[in-house]
Amino acid sequence: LQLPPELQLEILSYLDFGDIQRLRQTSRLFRESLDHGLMKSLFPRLFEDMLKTCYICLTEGVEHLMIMGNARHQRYPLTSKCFSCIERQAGFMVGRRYTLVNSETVFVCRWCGIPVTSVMESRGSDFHSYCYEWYKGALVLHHTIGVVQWMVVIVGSALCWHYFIRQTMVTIPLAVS
Amino acid sequence: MAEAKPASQKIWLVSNDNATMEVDRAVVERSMLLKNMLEDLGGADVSPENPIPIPNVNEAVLRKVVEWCEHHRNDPVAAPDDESDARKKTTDIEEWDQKFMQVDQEMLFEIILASNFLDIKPLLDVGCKTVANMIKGKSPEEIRKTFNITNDFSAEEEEQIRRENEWAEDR
Repeated sequence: LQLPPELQLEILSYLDFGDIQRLRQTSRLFRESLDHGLMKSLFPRLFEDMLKTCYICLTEGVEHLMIMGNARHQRYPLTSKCFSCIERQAGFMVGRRYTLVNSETVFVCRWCGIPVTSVMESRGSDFHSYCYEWYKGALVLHHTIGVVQWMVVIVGSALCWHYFIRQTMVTIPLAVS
Repeated sequence: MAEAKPASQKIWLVSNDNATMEVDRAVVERSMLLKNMLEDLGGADVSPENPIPIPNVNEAVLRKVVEWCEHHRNDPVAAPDDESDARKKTTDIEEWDQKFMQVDQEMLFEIILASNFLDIKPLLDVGCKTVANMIKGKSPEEIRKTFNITNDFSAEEEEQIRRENEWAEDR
């Protein structure tokens, strides 16, 4: 950019960590000039800002919508992932426990597959309340169909018994069932 | 020196390509540099024959800057940096300014340079925000395209960058 350094700094001060990382990937000049020292001075809270940046899409996310990365990783603290990137990749695993960037631990909703965080209304640790309604509906439907099926079998069997009591070809399978 | 300076007092400016323009003093005073200069000068000697020279700003840019100052002539003078430490600076720009900044990149940078030179902080901020918004949320490829940056990474470096972003499965 054809601007003096102090104005370039002024512009950089409006960007977040991820923006600058993406800028660093454009050319050698930016990669070399935007070094650690400069980043430190631009971001007094560099560590927190890196934690809040999704390392895949390099955008700054909201703490309760990001999964904390492995602290032993060599890229740490730039190891967090945002929910949308996880969904785009492998998705969440039901039953696994996830740690969010705000250090809350959460489980994944068994209905929609997205973690149940404390900011969302939830029912228990593994359902959003909205999702639970759907789950309950599906469960009731499932059981109702089961009961209906059962009744059909019983009524049918009774009728068979009543009308075909003399035919062994019918009564033997009936007794077995 | 006149004791009360009338709001309609005129000031003449001349750009580095010798274009003179007549501007209200209130408008000119959006520029801290010129404001201080006028105060020191008493504003007495400025006339169409003896305008204030603005070196390193050409006519087109000066007109743009004056246009901005005209529109913002009645803005309250911003309190001197009350929150320079707060990093969460917004890049919101009011609508008129957004339209105003829809110029080609060269002009945009010229405006930023001119406002820096003339010490018009709010205009400088708007300019910097406009540039920042051209970077915000863009992919490296988009940024290159916007600013005409040539990708001078070697294949190796390219690969390294890709790998840095890829260490994906770190469960």
